[in-house]
Parts: sequence; C-alpha cells; structure tokens
Amino acid sequence: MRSTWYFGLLCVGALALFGHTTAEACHNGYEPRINPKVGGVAHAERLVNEGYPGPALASVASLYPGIASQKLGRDPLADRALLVAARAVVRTDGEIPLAFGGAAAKSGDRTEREQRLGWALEVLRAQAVRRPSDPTAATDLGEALERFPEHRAEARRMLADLEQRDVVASAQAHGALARLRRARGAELQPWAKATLGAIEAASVELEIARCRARVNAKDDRSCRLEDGAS
Amino acid sequence: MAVSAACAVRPAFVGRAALVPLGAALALAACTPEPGGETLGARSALAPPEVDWLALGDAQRGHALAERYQCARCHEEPRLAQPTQKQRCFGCHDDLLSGRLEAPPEVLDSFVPHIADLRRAPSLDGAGRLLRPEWLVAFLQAPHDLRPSMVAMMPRLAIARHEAIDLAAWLGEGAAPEPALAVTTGDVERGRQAYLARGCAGCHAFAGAGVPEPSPLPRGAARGEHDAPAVELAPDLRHARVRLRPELVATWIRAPASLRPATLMPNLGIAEAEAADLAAFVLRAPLAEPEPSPPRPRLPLLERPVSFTEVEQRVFRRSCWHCHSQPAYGAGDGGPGNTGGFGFAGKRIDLSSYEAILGGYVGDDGQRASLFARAPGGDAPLVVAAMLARAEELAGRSGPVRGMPLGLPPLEPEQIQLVESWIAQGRPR
Repeated sequence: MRSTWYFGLLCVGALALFGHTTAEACHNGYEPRINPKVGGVAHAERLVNEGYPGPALASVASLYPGIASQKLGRDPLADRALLVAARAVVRTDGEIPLAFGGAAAKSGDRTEREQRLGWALEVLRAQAVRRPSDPTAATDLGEALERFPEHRAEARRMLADLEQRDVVASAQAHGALARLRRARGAELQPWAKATLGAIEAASVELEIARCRARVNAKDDRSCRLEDGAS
Repeated sequence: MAVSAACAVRPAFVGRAALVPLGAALALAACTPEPGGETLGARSALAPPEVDWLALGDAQRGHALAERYQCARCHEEPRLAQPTQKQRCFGCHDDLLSGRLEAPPEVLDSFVPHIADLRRAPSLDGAGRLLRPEWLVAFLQAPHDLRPSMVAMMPRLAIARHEAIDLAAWLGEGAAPEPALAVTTGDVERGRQAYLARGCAGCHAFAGAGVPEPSPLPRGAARGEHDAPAVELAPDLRHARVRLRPELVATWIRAPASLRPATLMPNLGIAEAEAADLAAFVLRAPLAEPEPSPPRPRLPLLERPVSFTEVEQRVFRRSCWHCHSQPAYGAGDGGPGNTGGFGFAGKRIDLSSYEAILGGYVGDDGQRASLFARAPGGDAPLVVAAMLARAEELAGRSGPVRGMPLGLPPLEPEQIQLVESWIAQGRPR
C-alpha cells in the first residue's frame, strides 16, 4: 500500500509540473486557465473520490502548503481543498502526515494518526454545521465518525438517515454503514440474533453491494468489512 | 399542475407546440378565453377584446417581477438591472465566440459546435408595443416554440397568471390601448404574391400557409461561419394573428424600427398598399391544421453495463451542468438550478460530480431528497421524468414535472435511455 501512495505522489508531482488543466464551460468558467489552483483542486477532488486519497492529499498540500492550519470559510476554493484533505485523511485512516516536508513519510504512530483523524473530523463537522442540509457534508461526517469507536452510534444514525432518504453521497460511506451495521449485529444479545441478526446481515450485504457498485473498480479498500478501511 | 381538459383547447394555429396548456395558475383560476385559438384570433381581428388586459395589470409590480424572474439574463431590456457576464444566458458563449476567453484554440474550437446556435434571445425593448397583452399572458405561463430556426426558446418558468398579467402590463407600458375595431383593408392573395416576391420566406416560416420555408441554418457551424441573427429570431408567422396587435401589423411591415428601434426586421421600402396586402395575408391567410407531434419513444433499459463516466460525458456535462453545477468551483454561482434563479428557489441540484448527484435536491419541505425517487404520477425516477417531460412540453402536454433542459430541445431518447439504465443498474461509478 505504501508503494501505491508513493507512486501516486510521483504522478501528482509530474502532473503539477507538466500537466495542463482543461478549460471547461460556463458556470465552471475558464478558471482552470486563469487560476491553476482551480484545476488542481478539482483534480485532487477527483482523485479522492475515485479511491486515491494519498495522491489527493499530496495534491492539495502542494497547492496549499499550510492546509493543516486552515479553517473553513476563507474562500470557496480553499474550503474545497480543505475538504478534500479531510476526506483523504479519513480514507487513509490518518496514516499520511498533513504537512509534507518534501517526502511523504508514513507514520505508524498511533497518536499522530489519531490526531490527524481528529483534525479531519473537526473540519468535516464544521462543514456539516455550515451546510446542515447538505448530504455530501453529512455523508463525509458520517464516514469520519465511523473511524472513532466512541462516535459510531452517531455515525450509524447519521448514515442510516441518509440511506433511508437515498442520498448517501459516496460509495465509501456505504462501506462505512455496512461495517457499522455488521458491528451492531455482532453486539446483539443471543436471543435477538436469530431475528434481528438476519435483518442486519441483509442490510450489510446491501450496503456492501452498493459500495462495490459505486466505488472505483480499482479501489479495493473502501468496501472491506474489516474494522477501518486501511 | 394538472390542466383541466375543459380549459385546454387545441389551437389550430400552433405549430410544433400543438397544444398550449394554461399553466399552473389556471388550475386554480377560472377558465378564460383561450388567447391562442383560431377562433379568438379571427374574432380579435374584427371585434373588440372582452378584457382590457393592460388596465388589469400593474406595470410597477410587473417591473419587479421582471427583475425577480431575471428576464435580463437572456433578453435585452434597458429598464432592467443588467446581469453580470457570468449570469447572462449567453455571456460565456459570446466570450468564447469572440475570442475574449483565454484558452487554447483547440479547446475553444471543441466548444464552438455546441454553442454557435446558442447566443441570442429576442430583445424585449418595445415588445409590449407590438405584442397583444392577452397573448403575452398566455405565453408567459405556457411558452411554446415560436422561432423554428432558433435552438433555445422561452423556458417554462413558474409564472402565475396574475404575475403574467402584471408582466404584460409592464411590457406594454406606454402602448396604446387596443382599438375597438382592427381592420386590415389589404387583399390576402395579393399579399401572398408580395410575400413570395419580397423573399419574406428567406427568414420567416409560415406553417400551414402553403408558402416556402426558410432554408435550415447550418447547426454547430465553425466559429464565425454562422451568424444569421435575423433568421434565427424570425418567428413563425402562423402565430402572428394571435400574437401581434393587428392594427400595427402593416406599420410593422413598412417601418419596423418605428415600433421597435433595435429590431433586425429590415425596412424593405414597402408602400402602404402593399404592406396592407401583406398584413392581410399574415393575418387572414387560411392555415392548414398542423400535424400532431408523435410521442417520443421511451427506449428499453440497456442490458450492457453503463458507467457514470459515460452518463456524465454524454448527458450531464453536455446539457445539465450549465444550470446545475458546483458553486464553490471557480467563480460561478452553481447556476440557477443549484443556487436559484429565473424565479426558482435554489434546489441545490449539483450534477457536476458523482457524489453531488447522489446528494439529491432540496425539496419544498427544505429536506434533501433523492433525485432517483419515483416522480409523481409515473414510474420513472425524477431525473429521468424531467428529461422525458421536456419532449411532452414541446408537444403541448405539460405535466407536474418541469421538463429539462429548461428552454432547450429535449435530450435524445438514447441519452435518456442511458441515464435510466445507469440508475437501474445501481448508479455504478
């Protein structure tokens, strides 16, 4: 996995140096040509959504070197970059440092990982507060909450509500919901397992199927049932 | 939004839009005389109108409504606040075609075929002087295709009847009241000969009148090759007898700029008698019944796998994205279909990414709902129902779901089939 991320970082670096952004029409204007950061952020967003969180994180960190210390609300593009970074931190399970000092050293330090995840959770919670009716924000927050055992009940409620309204905004969140439901099934009392367990198992299967249908084919991590996606 | 069958008549004059429904507000209002029907058209040319429409409306409220519905986004109208270049319907297209945007030539050229035909709308300046208020009231509520050479048309906005009356009053501000008796003294047959001799058919269609149609404009021509605004804006004259104030038609033919200074209608130096003959032909020539539009097929679901990438490239990015985009991206506002516009509240529909599409839209209750839920009164998912509804609207059959793309030709059945198949397959990435 580490080599995949390094390869991704190399690709992003090469793109930043030699790539060009494609101008796009109307409401997305010609900003990529005018301001290369727009194309860069869009590219990073695409990377994280398609299952390449490491390269996405590297990309936004190169565009916004101090991103870890930024707050939402500065400007729309910086906000978008910050959200990409937070989403990427969640999807790498906090394994990649935010501030890149030239190399993307992977840290196995549990405390550092938790700090990074905590930072991402803070960003995504702030976004959910700013955009209370935006399912994308709620989906991201639910996915982040699932990484914290103490927040899993909240994550389950949030994602289940989105699922009920059919507005879960990412494949990864379906994967997170599957894991949450599986965990709840395992916690059931023996007397309840016979009935409720079967229902939970069916809903786990359904969420995994949705996750697999909606995730990038090359992303083999997001729909795993093991605790945590890394 | 159901249209009472008793209130919907088939107007003989309507070209491609064979049936003009009376719009949302008419579900609550009493039936009024159908302003588009042949009967009324003929009667109005000879008898006094039953209602003084200009007196009914409030021009000041109409002005405020024109601002609210953002008429100036597409139409030129000096009395309205001017939109920003990005808000203008054709602002980006103008910039692209005139080379004002900084982008590689190959990128610009790739856009040109898609936008060359989408760069103008008729000016509203002086429109109310020439147009009949009762026609305006009906048209604003239930627009139909007036200009066969034009790709876009007036979109179906959520304009209520009382609002349409105020808007008509504002547009007609300063116009003389319609005279009690409007008579044209010309001769229809001499008018037909003059129509052919003067080459009116070079720009105008006159469906059902048995005269030649203008040659179709080349679609998606290369930059600069296609620039025929007069042809594009020329209305089908089939609508003239209910659309124009009959007493002004001869004047309009003789000296168009005297009524609308910015018009592209040329002054051909036509004498008074010939103008009267032409007016008689336009207003009184017998018209053949138009062919009803056949319903568009709804193609069966595809059995092959359909990915989001394919749907995005062939549908969402081509049409939908212009109005349903991401506001945080660049300097755009996300379009009227996202943050609101044209009188619509922001539905927060963002079709610019997979995740955003899954995030649905904001319903009337303020809650997010799925774009893939079943549409009312049908079996299609909402997003598909809106695409199917557009063709129905053009055929004069407006339903509860607003047709999309708004004011543009319907998507091809194969494009809708692609979207529907993608949804049925579980919306795979």
